[in-house]
Amino acid sequence: MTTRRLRIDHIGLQASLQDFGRFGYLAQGVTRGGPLDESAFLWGNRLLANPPRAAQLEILMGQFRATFLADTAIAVCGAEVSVEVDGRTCPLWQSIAVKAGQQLSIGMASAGLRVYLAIAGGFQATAQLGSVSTVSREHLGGLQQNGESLQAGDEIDFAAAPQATVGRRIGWAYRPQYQQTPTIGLLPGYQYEQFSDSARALLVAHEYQLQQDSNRMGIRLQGPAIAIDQQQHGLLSEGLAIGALQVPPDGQPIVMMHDRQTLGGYPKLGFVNPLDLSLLAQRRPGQTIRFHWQQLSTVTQQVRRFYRFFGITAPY
Amino acid sequence: MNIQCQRAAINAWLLVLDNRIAVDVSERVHAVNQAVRELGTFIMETSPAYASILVYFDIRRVNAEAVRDELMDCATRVLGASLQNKALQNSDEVKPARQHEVPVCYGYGEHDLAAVAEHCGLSVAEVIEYHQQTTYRVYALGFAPGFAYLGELDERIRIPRLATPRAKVPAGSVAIAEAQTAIYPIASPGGWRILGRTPMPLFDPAAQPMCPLQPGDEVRFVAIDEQRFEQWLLEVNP
Repeated sequence: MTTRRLRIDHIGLQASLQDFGRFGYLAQGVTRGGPLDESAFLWGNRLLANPPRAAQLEILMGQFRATFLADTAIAVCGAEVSVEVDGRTCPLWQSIAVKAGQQLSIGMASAGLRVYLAIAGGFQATAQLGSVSTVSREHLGGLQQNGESLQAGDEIDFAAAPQATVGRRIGWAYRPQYQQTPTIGLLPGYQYEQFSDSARALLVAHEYQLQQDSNRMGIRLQGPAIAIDQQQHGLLSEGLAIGALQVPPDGQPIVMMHDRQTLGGYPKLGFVNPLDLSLLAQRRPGQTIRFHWQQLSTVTQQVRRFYRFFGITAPY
Repeated sequence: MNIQCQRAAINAWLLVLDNRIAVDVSERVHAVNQAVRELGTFIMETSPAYASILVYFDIRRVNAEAVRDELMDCATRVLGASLQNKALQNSDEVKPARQHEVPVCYGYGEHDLAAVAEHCGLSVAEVIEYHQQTTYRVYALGFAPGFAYLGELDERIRIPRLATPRAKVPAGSVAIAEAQTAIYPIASPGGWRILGRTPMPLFDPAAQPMCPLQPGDEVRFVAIDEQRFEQWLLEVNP
């Protein structure tokens, strides 16, 4: 019997195993984890007719090489990279057949930050609390169940999948553009009422730049400081949702991402449209974004349509 | 304070019951949290804190406004019942608080005992003594897996967080900040002042229960020496 495995030959900056995340343990302080760009992740599984939550690799900036130890099919979605199988150039956002012994080589990202490698049937590892998602801060998930990222030499099992349809691709119209500065939707929430009109207006009047210490916990932004009311300093720690826009005392906003701490005590002006978190996750430190206020009713419809299309409950 | 609902995500409400850290508030939060979880399968997950509960709902099946109305009704009903007849204290459903004794080797590894003593105008021995004198309540789990927010700290040993957090606080570190004390279940960055270390595991995803300290439980710290600490570590991780 063949070993249905992928052997990693080279890792650039970082690569981690991610399924859709760890759900049901917020009350114990366990965060969700999962792919920061949900859109690219869900498309990858869709192209291979995988279950929507099937595990993939999240590869930072590309520069990744691996060898298939069995025939299978893959799809590479997300950041713009060159993809070669044994030197043959392959398209992104498309299901590709690969043979045992062939080597996959992903180049350096020319736009965007996170590449998702999906495989027919999904990658397999021992789940902890119902998920293989790697959360380094919590020492949970990943190949060794200790939150560590993948390393060259690691071998990862993949499921014996029914024949995936190869050559399925996503139309250009649906493929995100990572070159331009995205406009990220914001919705009023949390302590919105306690911020001044000028604070709310300031956030959408200027571009904000991603700081170097942005990571899977939070995207830290730099720009005109958002003023906090004196009374907002004494906020008790409360449940922190993915997408929440925190304003710490220095007025530089932080968007909470999938590895965020489950409770936090900074005031929050609102939250980011969950569908726009994918675009935010593809921005690099030093790049900019713009915000605009959106209507709850509009975004609710978008979110319902998106998750219905992928056949999944909106994540929480 | 009036009960409020703030939108926390496209599929979440933050149900705010109060704005204080207090035992009575904590009891209400957990009674309401229990009732909210039983509202129906459209409730996906809840995350209770000191005085509020984050509630995720299934946006595909229900309207946010309808969920808000149900949450407000639910909170009003539970709080009304508890106020009228003090049923909470007397009912069979409320178990007495579980008690835990957490052994601490004060001054183990890198610590802030001297800085705390200086800030509070006390001796190190007094800081250690006052930290052990209080029976603490677990107010919430959060920040990191199994990280229990314990209160309230003796007023004589209160101190602000470090201006610059440590990049790595070792697992088991027992620390204080303002009116709170806590144990870091896993190594993580942190700004609280470290008093010592416990050999007791506080988060193990493979164990049952995963986190021994749960909201509503009571905790006392008991000093142990270095020899006992290391012996204990060997017993826990043979």
